Amino acid sequence: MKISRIIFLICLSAVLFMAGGCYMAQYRQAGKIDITAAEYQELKPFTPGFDKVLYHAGLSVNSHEFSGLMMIKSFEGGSFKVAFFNELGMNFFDLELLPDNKNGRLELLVNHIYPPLDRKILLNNFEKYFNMLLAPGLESGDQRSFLREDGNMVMIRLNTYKGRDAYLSRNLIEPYASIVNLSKLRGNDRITIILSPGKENFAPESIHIKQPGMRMEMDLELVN
Amino acid sequence: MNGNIKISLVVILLLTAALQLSAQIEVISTAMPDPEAFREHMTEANTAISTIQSEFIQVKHLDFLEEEVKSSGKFYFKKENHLRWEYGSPFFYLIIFSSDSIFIQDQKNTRKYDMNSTRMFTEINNIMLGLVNGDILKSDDFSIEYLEQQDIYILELTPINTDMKEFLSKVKLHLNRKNYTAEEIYMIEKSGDYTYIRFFQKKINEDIPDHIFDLP
Repeated sequence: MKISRIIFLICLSAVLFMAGGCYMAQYRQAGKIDITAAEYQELKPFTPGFDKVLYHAGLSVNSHEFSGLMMIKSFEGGSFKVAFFNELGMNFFDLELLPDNKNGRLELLVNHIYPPLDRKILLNNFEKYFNMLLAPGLESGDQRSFLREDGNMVMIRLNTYKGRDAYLSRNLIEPYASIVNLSKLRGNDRITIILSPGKENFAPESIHIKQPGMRMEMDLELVN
Repeated sequence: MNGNIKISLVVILLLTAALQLSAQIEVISTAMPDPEAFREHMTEANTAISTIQSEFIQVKHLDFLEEEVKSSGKFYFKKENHLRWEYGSPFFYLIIFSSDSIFIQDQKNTRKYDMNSTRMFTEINNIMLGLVNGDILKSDDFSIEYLEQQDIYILELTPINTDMKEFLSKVKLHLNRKNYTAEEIYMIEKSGDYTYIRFFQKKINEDIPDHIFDLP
């Protein structure tokens, strides 16, 4: 590898470290916890026992708006399927998320997608969002926890296949209130997922995903 | 084997055969003998229709997830090109198609979409309008197969238009034999999913105020 390339990679790592570091500056270490314990599993966005859920969904990509219904359903073996279709029934996409135990993630496979949405960068982002939400990393043993300076938020920090994700709960009793991907270079590119405190049938009542740098937003509201 | 059991078995076999036969009779569709005459009659009937209001149920079959999502509501059509889909279940939302825009309103938000920017909705709007005003018969976007059963006419529309082929593989339309209005619509998608819509309690040519097509 050329020296210039090595220097570039070192600089990039330093910038990434600082970017994550800025966010982390408001937190201090609070030791390790075993997040596989049952009480912590209950904090996950989709808790054990989850079967399926239907959301009223809005997706905004580069100012293009898509709205309709989204169904998320779990299957045996830890896989999930997601279907998004408009109000009159036409399908936008069918996605499958298959466990990749070696890399501790869910691999996204596309069964069908409406051609205007069939963009690699978009699908990579969907894979990341659903990994953050369905949280395979939260089944991986001891993890570092951090307490915010004001004492009002606890963070579980995971090393995931695409950088670090922070799962934030007020007290490790209430479900995670938000999930933040710490690895993006600029705050604007950062993926933030806001979760409702309320749940029904083991799923959040509402989910808001935003990634301003990618001009992406997704809103999910439970259909009762 | 005693006599009673034998009789019971014979009855069960006969009933089964009768049910199978009736099921077969139900699904037999034959080609219309004179599609040209049908087109003329349908065009004539549609010319006489200025409004339709109806209840509907909609079933979205998700092939990939092996699930169905059911919804229902009220449908309004007013010539030339006003459509209103008012869903009441499983939750309230409203879709209003006007000449160049689509409005979708749910319990929280109202969104307006430019018809040109949402190709899928545009195509669906064109299909729906074409079905209710009869223009579908003149469309170059489909090849049409003309079939009939005892109580209904059936149009099977296969998209030719490339844009439409991206999401639709076939539309099946069941028409009332008396007034040529849609009784049932099946929109079969490329993904294997289909959406079934059944219209009932139809009121034809009853006055619908214009404000029904305005957003509340």
